Amino acid sequence: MNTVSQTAWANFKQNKGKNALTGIAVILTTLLLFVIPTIGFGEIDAQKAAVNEMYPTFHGMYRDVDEDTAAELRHRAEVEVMGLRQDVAQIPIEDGTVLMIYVDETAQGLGKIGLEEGYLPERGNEICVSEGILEQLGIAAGVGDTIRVPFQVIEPDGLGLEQSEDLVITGILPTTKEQKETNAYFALVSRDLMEARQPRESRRYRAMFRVAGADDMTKDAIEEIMEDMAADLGVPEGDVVSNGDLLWANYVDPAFYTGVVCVLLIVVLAGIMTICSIYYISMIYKVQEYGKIKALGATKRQVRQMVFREGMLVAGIAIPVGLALGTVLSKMGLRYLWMSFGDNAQGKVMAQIISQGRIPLWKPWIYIMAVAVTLVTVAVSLIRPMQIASKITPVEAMRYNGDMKIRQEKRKGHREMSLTALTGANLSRNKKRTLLTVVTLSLTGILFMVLSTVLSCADPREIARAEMFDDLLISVESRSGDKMHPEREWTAICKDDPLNEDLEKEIGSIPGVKKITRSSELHVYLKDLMDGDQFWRDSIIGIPKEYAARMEDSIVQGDVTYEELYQGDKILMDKNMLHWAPDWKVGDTVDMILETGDGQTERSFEIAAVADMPEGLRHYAGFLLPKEVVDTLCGRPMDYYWSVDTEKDQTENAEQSLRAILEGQEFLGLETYEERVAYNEKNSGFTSQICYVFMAVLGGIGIMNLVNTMINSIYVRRRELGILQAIGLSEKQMVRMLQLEGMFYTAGTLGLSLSIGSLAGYLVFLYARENGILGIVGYHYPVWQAAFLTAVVFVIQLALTYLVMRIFRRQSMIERIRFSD
Amino acid sequence: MSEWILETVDLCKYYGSGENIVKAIDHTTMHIQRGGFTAIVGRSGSGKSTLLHMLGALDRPDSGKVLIEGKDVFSLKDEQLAVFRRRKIGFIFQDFNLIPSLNVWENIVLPIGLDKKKADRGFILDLADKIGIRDKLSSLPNTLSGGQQQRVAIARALASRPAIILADEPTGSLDSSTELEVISLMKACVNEYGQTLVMITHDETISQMADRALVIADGKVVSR
Repeated sequence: MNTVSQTAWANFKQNKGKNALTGIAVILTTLLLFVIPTIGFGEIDAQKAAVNEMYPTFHGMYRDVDEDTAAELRHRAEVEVMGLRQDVAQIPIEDGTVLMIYVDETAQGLGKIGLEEGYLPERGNEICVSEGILEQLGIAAGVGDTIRVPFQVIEPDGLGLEQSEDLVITGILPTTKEQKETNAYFALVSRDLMEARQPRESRRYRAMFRVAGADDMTKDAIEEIMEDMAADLGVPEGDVVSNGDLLWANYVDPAFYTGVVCVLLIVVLAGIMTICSIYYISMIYKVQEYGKIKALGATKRQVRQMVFREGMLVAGIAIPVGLALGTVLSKMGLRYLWMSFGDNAQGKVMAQIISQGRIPLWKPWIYIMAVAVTLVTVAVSLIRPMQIASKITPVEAMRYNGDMKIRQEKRKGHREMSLTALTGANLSRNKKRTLLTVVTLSLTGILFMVLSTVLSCADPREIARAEMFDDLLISVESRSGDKMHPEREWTAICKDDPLNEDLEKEIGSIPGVKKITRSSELHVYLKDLMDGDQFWRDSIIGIPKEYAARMEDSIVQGDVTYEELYQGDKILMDKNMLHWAPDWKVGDTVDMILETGDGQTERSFEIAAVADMPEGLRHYAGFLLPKEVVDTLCGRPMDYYWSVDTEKDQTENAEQSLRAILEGQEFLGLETYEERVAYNEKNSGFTSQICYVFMAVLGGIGIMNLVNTMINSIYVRRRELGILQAIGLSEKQMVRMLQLEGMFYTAGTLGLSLSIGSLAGYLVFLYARENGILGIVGYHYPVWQAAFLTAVVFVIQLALTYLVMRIFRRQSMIERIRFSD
Repeated sequence: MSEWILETVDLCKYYGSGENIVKAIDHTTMHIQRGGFTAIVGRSGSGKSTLLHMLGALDRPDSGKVLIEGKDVFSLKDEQLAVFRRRKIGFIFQDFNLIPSLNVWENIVLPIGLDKKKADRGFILDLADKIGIRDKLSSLPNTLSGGQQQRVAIARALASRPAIILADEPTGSLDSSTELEVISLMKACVNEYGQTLVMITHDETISQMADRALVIADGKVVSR
């Protein structure tokens, strides 16, 4: 070890206090830099693993593909692998379906079709069935047994006549819970059987495939390839199915990475400021020593190296500690997240995957990144202290007391001196440094206030209330564009709307039901707005007169009353439409194709006003008209949502009765306000826990800064304080003076945090409301969080004054006066 | 009223233990008269600064007593001692020890302020005149020369009109012409205000300017 390193090592050992503080700040910085991406990417990986375990692994599927198209698709460059499925026949059972299907080997793999026992059918008289199917058929049989299977061959125009055949069971398929619930099963048959029953020209495959090179693509890019290829091959858009769950989990939105990078930048910034501030302040009393070393012949470079090496020694010890802590905490954190919040099937699988350690949670690149970024953070923080130490001349160093060059020669001063005046003079001695300290201390507080505002605005009950005006909401469960189930289209359901007068009477007679408020819905196409090569699909909500005031209150541009909309030529547009059609404004005309249930009719409306409507009013529709107008346009009541108001103490009973009534209704669904609240609570609970943990660690870094500032302010002035004592400052007065100083930092930190934090929080709230982030609707000042912040800062300040006095008392007054270095 | 303003009775202060024991003050008994200028002379390491610290109640002895106007100062609790010190004793240190963030005026009136009393403006201005720093009252200490800074320190020590001024090598950081000026000034002031000046020095010349000199050697005081 050369002299420079030896000196750095000696300094490192001597400055234990400062280095411990820096060390803690470095540990916390490393911890955050490691834990945030580890949890972020661990979450994604676990999700990916869970989805890949639970769902089929194909990216997309084309339905109704003939033999030639299938062959062409197989050879496309965009396709990595392709598998085929052909539905052969249906086994007739009561209240359910059993399909006999053929899948090739690739499709078996992509569709994750596995057997509980036996092997897949190879010959024309072989079949694989599940226990569920055998149960439905009333047969007790196993592998190797021959069973008589009744079936109807699937023909182009429907199902053929029932026939039956003796087939040998070669394998048993698993029976899932979902299959039992829906009473829908499938059996596997061989290629020979399929070809015998389905002539070449009538075969209509489902072609499942994975897109080549998809690992580097986004979900949208993969879907675009699937759509382009479908257009090339002449596969209609309605026959293109994307495996959404898989794509969503595997191909992450780039915005996620941007988010992670932003959070990491905040951490790095806080780290730099804290470590920099610790070094800068501690440099004040080290400078004299560096001056002596320079007087002994050290060059500027050597002094710089001493400072740098000492800093790096701290980093060298702190970083591994941070990584070790991060390694343990990230696993605990992820497990906790999924134990507490993952109560759906996927969440459970994810929790299992994480606790069984099936995915590599700790990634080498994250370790390397955390180490590299922390080292850079420390290095950047050391630049300024290195400059101070190397630039100062030995003579200047002896006199150095940390004051930046004071140009001030005179001071107005006070006529009478008091403790307050003394404290004030000390704080104003180096205004820049005092301000810098307050600002660095406040940054964490400001961030805390902003996050708290957002979290307190995300009030689960309020958000739920904006989504649901009453306790219960019955709505039609229609589905658009499902070619397999055209009966689920709203245009089909509305012809025999289940929300009819009979039901209204029935519900009205439930004890506790006070009122039913009915809204209609009409599906429309917007002729002036395109979605790919088709017209934009949207809907018009038809609201009853009871909602007139809410509607009028939500108008943000233009002006219209409920009555004025009765004329039917004007319409109210929701603000969200402006995302898709930013040029549309009040006074413009919108041409629409209305899907009335009796076919399509064209109609134009003038946009009378733009409104920022609560979801409970618009139910995600882009436009609004009075209910009567919607119903008149369609020539029938188009009731889609019924909002049911109940007596407070009878909501639960009413809900149960309502559920009983809706039991047999295929197209109706019921949602309760409490369900919505629970859902929102879970969502915000998850977000807020993550945010507060993050803030706590960041706060820890900030506290290190405060500790350092306070201890150093005493350490640097220990001689001065000794003198003050000699000329009559009593210990009580000294404590009081330190408390006053502490109060100044406390008040400054709180003042800045609360004022700028609240203001910034309000701006972020406005932004969040405007952009629908977390469903925020109303502003709630984070009173508890502000009180908490105040309390924490006060307690820390008091604890610090106590700590600092203890350190101070270790030296006698004489020692303080006598030794200036 | 006692004839002696300042007395020590069998005062001891040892550092270290066993073979390494240093007897900084060793069973010292001495008396200082009210008024005038007493010099305590000794070589480096003779224990003179330790003695002064105990005379000024800045440090507690291992045994023995320090009596100021007949009162045993170490019988006081810390808090009472601080008050006693600021009322009875003014300190002047070798390194001036002014508070850098306060201007000259504020430095001078600080001990009065700490005692929660109002400064006698006329008296302070008169003092500043006498000491020759009247035009520097709003200057910050770092803009003053060593001699000027020591004058401010003298003014600070005199401002609250304490009975005793304790000076620890007050001219150690000054050149020889300034040294004489400062000593004369201190002498003149204490005479005018009827105070007692006790000065620690290793300089024989200064001790000759004193009304009385005590010699300290190996922790023991020998009257001369």
